[in-house]
Amino acid sequence: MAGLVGASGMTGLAGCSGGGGDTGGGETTTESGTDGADTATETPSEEEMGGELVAGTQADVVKLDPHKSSAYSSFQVLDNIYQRLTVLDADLKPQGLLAKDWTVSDDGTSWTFTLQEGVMFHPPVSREMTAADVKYSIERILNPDTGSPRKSNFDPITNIETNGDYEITFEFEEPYAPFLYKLTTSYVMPEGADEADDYDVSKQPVGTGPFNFVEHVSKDHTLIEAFEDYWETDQDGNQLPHLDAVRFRPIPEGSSRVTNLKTGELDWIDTAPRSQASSLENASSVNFSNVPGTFYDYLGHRLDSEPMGDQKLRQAISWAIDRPSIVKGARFGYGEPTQDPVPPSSLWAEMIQVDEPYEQDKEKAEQLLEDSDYDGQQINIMVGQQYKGQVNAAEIVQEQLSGVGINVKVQPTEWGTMVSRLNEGDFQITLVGWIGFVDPDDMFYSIFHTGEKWNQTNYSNEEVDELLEQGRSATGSREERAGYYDDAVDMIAEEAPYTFLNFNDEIMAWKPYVKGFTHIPTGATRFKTTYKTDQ
Amino acid sequence: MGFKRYVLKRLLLLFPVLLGVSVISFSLVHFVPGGPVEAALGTQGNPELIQELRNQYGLNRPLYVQYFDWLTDVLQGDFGQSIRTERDISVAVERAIPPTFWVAFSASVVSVLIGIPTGIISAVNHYSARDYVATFFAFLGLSVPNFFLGLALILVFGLYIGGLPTTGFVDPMKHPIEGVRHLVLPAFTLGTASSAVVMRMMRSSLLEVFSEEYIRTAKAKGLTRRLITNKHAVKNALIPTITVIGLNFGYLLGGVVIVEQIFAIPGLGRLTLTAIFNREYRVIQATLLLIAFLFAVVNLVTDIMYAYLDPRIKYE
Repeated sequence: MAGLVGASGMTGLAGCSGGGGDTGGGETTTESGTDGADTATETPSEEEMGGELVAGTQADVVKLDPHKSSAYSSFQVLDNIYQRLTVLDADLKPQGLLAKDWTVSDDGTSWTFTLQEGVMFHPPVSREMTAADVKYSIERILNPDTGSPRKSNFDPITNIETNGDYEITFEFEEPYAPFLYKLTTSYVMPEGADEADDYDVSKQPVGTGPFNFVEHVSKDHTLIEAFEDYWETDQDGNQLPHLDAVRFRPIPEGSSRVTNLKTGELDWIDTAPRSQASSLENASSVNFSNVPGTFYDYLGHRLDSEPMGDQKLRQAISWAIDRPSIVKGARFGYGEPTQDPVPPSSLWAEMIQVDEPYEQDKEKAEQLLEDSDYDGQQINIMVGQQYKGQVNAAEIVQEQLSGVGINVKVQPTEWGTMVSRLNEGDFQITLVGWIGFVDPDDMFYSIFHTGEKWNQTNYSNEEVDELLEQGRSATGSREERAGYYDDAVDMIAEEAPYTFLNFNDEIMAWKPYVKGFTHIPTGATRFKTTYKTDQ
Repeated sequence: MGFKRYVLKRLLLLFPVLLGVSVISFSLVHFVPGGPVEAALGTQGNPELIQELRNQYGLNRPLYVQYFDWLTDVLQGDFGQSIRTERDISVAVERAIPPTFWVAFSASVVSVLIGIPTGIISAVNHYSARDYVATFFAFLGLSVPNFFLGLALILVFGLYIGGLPTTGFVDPMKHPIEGVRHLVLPAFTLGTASSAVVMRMMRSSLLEVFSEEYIRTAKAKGLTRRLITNKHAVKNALIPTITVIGLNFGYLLGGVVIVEQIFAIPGLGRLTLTAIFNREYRVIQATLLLIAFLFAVVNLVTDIMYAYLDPRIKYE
């Protein structure tokens, strides 16, 4: 799952992203559904357990129903309350969570999962989770009345069968290689949650996670507290979670979050503004953490607009740009240049690479420009006005392009308007980002396959289509599957519907006494193994 | 009773005003590209899902049908549900009023406490060093942007001196001490700029009063300067100042957005801003109507205050 990042800042999940932002702005509307399999390396001593952690987040919880939510800020809370069959680790590889084990049939069309035993639901349900609950949850996501943005993840499923309390089988018409990744959005809620009369699932989340829900006071705080009957222990046999409670406080202004972290009013913050990152990095009162994220910026060229249909012009643009200076100028150095949509931290990054990467070469750009039909007309770059980092990047692009004789104008656009224009294809060039893609199918299929939902550049190439279909239904090894994408990415680079710019770092920070929190590229916010030492 | 009739007339006039506001805001937000479903789904949206949800929420009907539908609900006291959060809008708005009211109110208090005395000092000693110093600070207060002052105060009081909470809101009606402590920094941030306005107004209107004949008479009677100022001049000079304070309060109610962002206060400004970004038509309607209503009421109260300060003012 992924989405355009437009919203403020990081966002761990999937979405079209304007992000990067230090500016307040709307709460994010990015997709979510990933987090990390956490590996706690240290264990707290007896007296270090307990206490309340105050987490400063960029945005407030939007919906409390994990099947209907798409905001990162909702999942920051919900990931501690609900659990899914699989979760992503720091290499963005799916690991079992509620699923203990799984097997795939030889023809790749049937997946059977063995579930963890002894997993309890929070009150008022307070019973053991079984395969029937998993079935109910997936079917709830698939039900059009739910209106779940994650429905398409599970659409290829043709049948769900439970076998006893701890086994469940999913069947498909064709092999569905990305299924383990898609299951990272399979939040499990109790069977019959929609009809329950002792709780309202849209207001009171009831899951199997380490914390249960206490209250949500809009725009002020969300409180969750340790679930006594949680099913996991740490490696020393101590009951998880270690904390007594977590209080999430939405503080939209980035510098305000940073200051309140320094003063100790907050113990932990997400999305520290990049402009302040270096000051945080050097502050002794704060632990600063940046990891390469899943959020990349790109220039999208609308192929059926004048003059962007001209392939030589697009290639000239790709050669004219100096990516390191964009990382430095627009992202304060917290990011890295990229040639493709594969996150640098992903285990796929080494296997899927562009053979002839674009680096700044003005002569080449000028030559291509001369061979093209471009007549010097003005081209607009549409960029989300509230995302300062992207506006800055667009300005740097403007300057670099004018250096080779391409006349572009930065057009800052209100985000809501911009999303509409992106979906309608009403732009020449856009500078925006995607976030949260972790499986190659996510990274490529919806964006570069003919006629797909997020193919906003209107790119179409039969060979690429075929490769992406093969990648989706591959049953062989990871290398075999990667091979299809490795071929596709070269064709995409050559035709340049996108000019890939850079991946952005994921930035978080916490007080030195906060331990046992694992920061992973998706920005998952899970406090299962977190604890506080003596301040 | 002319006065009662006047107030009644003003109150009745509110209805056409609010109706007008609702029509204008309704059309404006609908003319902006995008919609609540598209915004909620972001780029997760595919055309099918968008249409499905738009139908579900009745967003595909003609605009006038949607408007009258909304109006009918509102006249029955039902503001509807937020599409994005699935929570009742009236509850969300009700919760957002106290924080915004208290911030705006305490900022007004700050502006009066700073503005009136410095205005008087400035006028009494006009063209002296004290006047220049006061005027200088007034201009400074006007020119320093809210967000800068807010962050500076957070740094100073949060990090270097400590002792004052820098985020959040606590209702002073429930926890007076904590509540007031939470209000100090936002109130100063917001109140400084308006205190400059109040000070300038107080100064110039007091100077005007000083040139009146009755002040000369008072001087001729041999009254002390202090007595003349306190008893005769200030009360008269307050009339135009009250207008400014009243208008400012209305402005503060609508203008707390930045301060609410910086200090993470769950008020109307943040609610409206988030609603606009997410095209939550019904939420925008509700908050704009409320702000328009409050503004109108504040203006009315200001007008009524005149009667107290200057009994010669007649209401017809």
